[in-house]
Amino acid sequence: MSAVASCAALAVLELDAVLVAQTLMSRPFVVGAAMGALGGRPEAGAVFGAAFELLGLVDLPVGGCLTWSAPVASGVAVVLLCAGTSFAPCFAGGLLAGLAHARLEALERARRAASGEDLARRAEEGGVLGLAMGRSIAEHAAMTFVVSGAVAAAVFFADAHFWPRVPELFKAGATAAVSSAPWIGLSGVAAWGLNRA
Amino acid sequence: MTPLMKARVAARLLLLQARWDPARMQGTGFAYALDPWLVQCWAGDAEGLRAARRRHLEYFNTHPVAAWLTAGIVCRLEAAAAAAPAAERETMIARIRALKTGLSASLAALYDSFFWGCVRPVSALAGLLAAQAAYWRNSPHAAFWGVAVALAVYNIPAVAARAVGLQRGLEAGEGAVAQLCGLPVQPAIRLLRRTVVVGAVASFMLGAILLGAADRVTAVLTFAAGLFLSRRGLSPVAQLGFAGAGGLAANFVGLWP
Repeated sequence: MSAVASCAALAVLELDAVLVAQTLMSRPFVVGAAMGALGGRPEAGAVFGAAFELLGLVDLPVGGCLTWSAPVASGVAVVLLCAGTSFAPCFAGGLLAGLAHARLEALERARRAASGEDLARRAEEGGVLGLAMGRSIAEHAAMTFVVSGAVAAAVFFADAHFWPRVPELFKAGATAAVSSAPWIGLSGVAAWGLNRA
Repeated sequence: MTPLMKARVAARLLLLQARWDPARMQGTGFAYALDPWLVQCWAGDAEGLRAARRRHLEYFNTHPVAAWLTAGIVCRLEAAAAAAPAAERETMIARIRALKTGLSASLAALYDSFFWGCVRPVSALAGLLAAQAAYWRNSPHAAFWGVAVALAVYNIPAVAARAVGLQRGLEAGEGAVAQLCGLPVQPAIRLLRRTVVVGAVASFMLGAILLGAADRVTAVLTFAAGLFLSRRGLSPVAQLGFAGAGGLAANFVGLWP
């Protein structure tokens, strides 16, 4: 139940990334801490969120840029962490959810473009834009909720049934990738600043 | 424009990208934000209102904060066009179209550099450093302090720029852009980018101090390798793959963990 509530909260927070306001309430660091607080582990959530924040900080959200959704990645990783999933699968699950969300958002945008001409024609008479905006927001929130819930459930299941059987060699590789994420993220931010300063 | 109308336009500008699409980008959201004002300006001229709605439903794209200044200027020009004699109207409408296109592109370049390229990374690093400092002081709410600082550092200038942009656009029209050009934005961008580098290194050092000796060496090596690879254009996600392969190889030869 707590995971379902967290996915719903994530769907609402993620709206801030593009659709509503852009106040940075959807930044991975904020989302991680919020999801952690909902799951009873705010500090761990903030650490996970900070790692995703640093990895995604150099991606500028300009134009139609859609590489991966860092807020969804952070939120799903922390939901999994709070549900007791192992460290490395949490991180991998978060990345997977972030990539899946970006692909689906691209499809959502293409669908909006296809119906844009018809909407514009009707909007000239007035009154339909508010409804179209509300519908677009509701659809996007529902998509985020479904993607984050589905990926979290799949990774939770895989962690319980398959992760214990993964050879130690591969677990070590996954652990190395996860534990180096904050340092890679920080070095990326420093390099980005150095290139432009 | 009455305060109530200003509040309506401002609230709707928060939904500027709610129906973002690759063809019109923010066009639908911009038309939605301006709609109450257009209805008031073009009251009694149904064809004029239809045409006004049509021109604002076209392609429009800028930074979400810059849209507030553009909206202020466009609102002022729409009111002038609606009040103008029919003979002058076409010229004024053509000016609104040209101004929207030119202004949105140039403001986007400036605001993207400042808000996305500087204030956003600075706010994230400030939040991270605040959380680390609170953790060092054994605060039970380290995450809360980090989040609060990150949100404040971004939103104080962003909310101010939105409110002032809309107001100045309404008051001064195109003159507001000239006032903006007089601000020392480029030196501020350079300073903020240097702050990003200092903040990233400081955050790394604070984090590394918390680690044990062996992990500290790994962290320093990872940071140095990341700096080298990032400056050569390799994405952080690709570097994670290299780190995973490195961990796997180190485990295979018995070096790690």
